[in-house]
Amino acid sequence: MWKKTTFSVGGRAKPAGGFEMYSWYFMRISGVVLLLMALGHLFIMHVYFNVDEMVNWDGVGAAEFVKQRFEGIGWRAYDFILLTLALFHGLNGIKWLVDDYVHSKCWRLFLVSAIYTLAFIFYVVGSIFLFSYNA
Amino acid sequence: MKVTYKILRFDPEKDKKPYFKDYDVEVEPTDRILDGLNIIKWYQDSTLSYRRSCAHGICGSDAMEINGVNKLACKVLIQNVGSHITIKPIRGLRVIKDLIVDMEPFFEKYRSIKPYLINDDSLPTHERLQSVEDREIFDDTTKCILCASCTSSCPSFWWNSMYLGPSALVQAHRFIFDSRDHGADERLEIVNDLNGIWRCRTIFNCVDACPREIKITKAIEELKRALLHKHL
Amino acid sequence: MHLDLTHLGKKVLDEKLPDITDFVRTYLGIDPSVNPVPIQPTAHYTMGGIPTDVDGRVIMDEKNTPLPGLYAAGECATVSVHGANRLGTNSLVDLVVFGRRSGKHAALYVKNTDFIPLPKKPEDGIQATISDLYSGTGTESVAKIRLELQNDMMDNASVYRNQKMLINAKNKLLELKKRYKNIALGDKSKQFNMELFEALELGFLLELASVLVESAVNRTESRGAHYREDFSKRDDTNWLKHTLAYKAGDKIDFRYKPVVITKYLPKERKY
Repeated sequence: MWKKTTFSVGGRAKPAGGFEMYSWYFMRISGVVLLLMALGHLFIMHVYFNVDEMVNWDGVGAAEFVKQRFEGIGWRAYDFILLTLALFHGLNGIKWLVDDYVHSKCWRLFLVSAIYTLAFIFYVVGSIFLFSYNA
Repeated sequence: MKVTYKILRFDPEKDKKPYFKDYDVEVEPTDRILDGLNIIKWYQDSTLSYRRSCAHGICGSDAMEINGVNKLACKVLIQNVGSHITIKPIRGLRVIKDLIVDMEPFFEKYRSIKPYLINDDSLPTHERLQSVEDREIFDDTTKCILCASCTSSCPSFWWNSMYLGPSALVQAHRFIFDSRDHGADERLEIVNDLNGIWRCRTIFNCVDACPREIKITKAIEELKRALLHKHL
Repeated sequence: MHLDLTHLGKKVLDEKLPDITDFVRTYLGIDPSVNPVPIQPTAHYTMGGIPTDVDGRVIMDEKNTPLPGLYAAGECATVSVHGANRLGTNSLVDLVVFGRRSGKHAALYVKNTDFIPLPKKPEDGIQATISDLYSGTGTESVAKIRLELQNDMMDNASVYRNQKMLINAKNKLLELKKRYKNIALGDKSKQFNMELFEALELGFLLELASVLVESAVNRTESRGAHYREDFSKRDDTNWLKHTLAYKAGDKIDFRYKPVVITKYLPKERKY
């Protein structure tokens, strides 16, 4: 039984412009950036300045350190990008899981909406903290 | 030597569920898995059904899961498997009867990538010549025999049968990188889809399964790169 | 008997003969670039039998009358481009040239032809054959008869044959055809019944084997892949003609179509 099919989810026509390709490419490039930035974060926070030890004194030292760090825009931007990319990659992973395993239209709609909502909330809360933090 | 075939049987006219049945067969160590199946069918139980044709790994009819791995029954020798042989139909495609699956969804995907020469130039007076170097680019993917070993071993395909699957992508590669063909753009856009090339998770099961030893994941990566070059 | 390919080297073998090299490695565990390969005769190609013209139209008689709408190309067909033998790359000509010509002609034919009225119940014949096979309660099995047929044809009707062998084959075929009427299917299922398929195929094999053997008995000369030990020379005076076989009840009628020589004279193969 031969029938012509476009291989798209839910029978929709194929999106023009190839979103999947850009998404794939973005994930690869940003993955490298994310990895480097995460390693940088790890190094600064836990090796070069050991935040754990600061906290062990009485908590004040750590707060002081963060305050110093957030005085300029640079570290806030660094952390913002880190947050953005980490969220994007986590989100993408879960979205792929849904794509792979969830074939029912209703469930897909529900789960994808839930993922986006959750991500949006995290994103907003994180951003508000980052940019409104005033020690 | 005496070996035991444990075969997943299913007769749509009788059975509600598939079940395993054991057969003891006398074979030579250098016989193929297919020879044992033939002995069972011809001399023990003629109801056993499976596809086979050339018996030399060319026609691609007898792909099956042999001891957990997709293989062609005609390309695996008994001595390389041992005396306990478990055989199941390939996965991800509907079982029609015993080891026979419905290949139509597989071939539908194959057809969707336009597996034929696209070239609207006026007919040449002699052959369309191709340099050795140009042929070399897609030599590996010309070896595909459409046995479905790769596609039916691909977890992405098990999860979502809308996925084009490695075999159709290999076939797309075979035409896209052929210098005589002008359909590359058209085909690249066909595979540029959530259910096309982007559902490949580089799991490499296809590479392990391919009886022709095609470097399938490499071919798929080359397609991804071609798409990026085209659009960026 | 062994074939030594070691002088070609691994690179040439892998590039120029990849399939054969792979067979040897897979089935014999031998690397043909290192060790000689044991060889034996095998059925490599089917030298057709369905007579066609250069457009792949199946012809019915000595006068090249086409059977409208029926085409054949490839191993099943006989276009007779290369005489009575299967030479290297014959099959490529079958595919590339006659496959294409047949396809083009068939497409043209379809465009210019309307459906013809079907005979009443055209499926009756094959349905009767199939239901006979399903209801057979005999003691013979398809696989056993086929094995005997294969062995007999290999022993008595192979490339080298003589009167005595061919008569043996003819008699054996009579016996097998009789026994074929007494087969029973172990598989009575309706879907994908591969045993039914094999049983139908065996019936056709028996008929084709009879055509092959009886026409070989008739042809008292040697030509191409037909080598009569008792008539080892080619006889153009009497046998420069094609055999046409017609089914007449249980018997086969033979008629002959002259070979038309145009550019190339038939010659002895010297390699």
